[in-house]
Amino acid sequence: MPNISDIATKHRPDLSKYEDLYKHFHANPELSNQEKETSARCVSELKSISSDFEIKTGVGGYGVAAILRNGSGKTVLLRADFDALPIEERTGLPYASKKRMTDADGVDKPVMHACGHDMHISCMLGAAEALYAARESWSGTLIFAFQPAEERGTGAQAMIDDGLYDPKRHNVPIPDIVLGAHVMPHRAGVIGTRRGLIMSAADSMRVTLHGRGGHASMPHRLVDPVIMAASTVMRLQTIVSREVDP
Amino acid sequence: MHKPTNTTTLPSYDTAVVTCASIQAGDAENVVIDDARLAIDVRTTNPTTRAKTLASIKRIVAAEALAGNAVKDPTFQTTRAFPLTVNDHALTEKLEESFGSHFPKGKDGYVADVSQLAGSEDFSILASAVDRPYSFFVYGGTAPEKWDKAEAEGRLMEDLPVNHSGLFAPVIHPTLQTGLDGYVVAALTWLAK
Repeated sequence: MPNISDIATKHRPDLSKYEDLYKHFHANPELSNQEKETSARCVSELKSISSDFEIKTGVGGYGVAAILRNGSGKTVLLRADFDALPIEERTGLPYASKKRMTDADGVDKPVMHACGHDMHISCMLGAAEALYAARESWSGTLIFAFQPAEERGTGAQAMIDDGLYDPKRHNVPIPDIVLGAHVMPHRAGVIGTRRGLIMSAADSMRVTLHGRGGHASMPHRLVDPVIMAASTVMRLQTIVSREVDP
Repeated sequence: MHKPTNTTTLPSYDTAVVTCASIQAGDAENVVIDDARLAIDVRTTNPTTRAKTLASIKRIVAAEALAGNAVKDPTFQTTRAFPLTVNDHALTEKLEESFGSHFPKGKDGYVADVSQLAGSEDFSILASAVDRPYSFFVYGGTAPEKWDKAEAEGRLMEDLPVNHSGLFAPVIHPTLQTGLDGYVVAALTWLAK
């Protein structure tokens, strides 16, 4: 029975390197689908660990997939997302972001890694170094997937649609097991798993109701969309209150 | 090949949230505008309810437009869609074993029934697109002294910055080691010789 814990502890890399890397990513966040430098840095870090990583770039935008083949066995995919958010950083940290970028609508926005994706990629790059160092102790295939645009809900699908697993395109082997992780506001040191449902589905939409505008004194010549909207807003609440099993 | 074990642990009750986060129409008091715009957010925990809720929204909007004598059908634009994240039981059970062997067990270390997350993720698509099982784990980033102080004061819900806050700042140590080890131990669960 392999002692996984011993292997992990023995091959843990120098964390100060990853601390510096984390601070760099934190100070240099990039918005969804604009993660050019972040992507490039992940690639250069992987290359500096080993030339044995088969690196696929430009997957679904700036996504990266790095394959480490190490004999026969299962294929495990590890995933970390790397986009940041249009939020002003107020932490006051010495490595706080002061970055601004133009978003997809052409609007200038402050940018911050307000969801911890910088921690995700720092941890996963460190894990890549550890697992490479430990390669005598395991066999199989590892895929490190650095995913763009998680905050838009589009990045994973974009990697798929761009042929992540397509032999004629990026040709990443289909994994047997897919694993991912997220930093949360739990107490540091806590790590948690959960069987079954761990996150809900989320759907957002914009709805336009079409009336016919004009002078407020002439309702008979108009179709008032404000009434429609007001009635809709109230009626929508009956879905949860009267249609869903309590 | 390991196909997903789709024994989902869904609660026997159901849950859905429909939020109209924005309603925009008109400006001047004496001008009735042409269009009214709504921004709607929906959270659901099972696929059937998700489909039914989205269908109900469409139905209600269409009915209100009809009732209001709208000049044309309402316009819908989906802006975001995140799937359910339902961790595979068999996979997660194996992680319980390996994580339990590496991380200290207990509420400040490894937790096997971490609470459901409030947000949503598109991570599962990397697995479900090719019909493979997945498991998503979490690790804490709040400085222990900050957590302990908030806990002692009964202010865990108020004083700790959450994801998407301008104050969100995971403490580098021990978070970095926890996340790094998490990925390594997770991978070795299936690959260690």
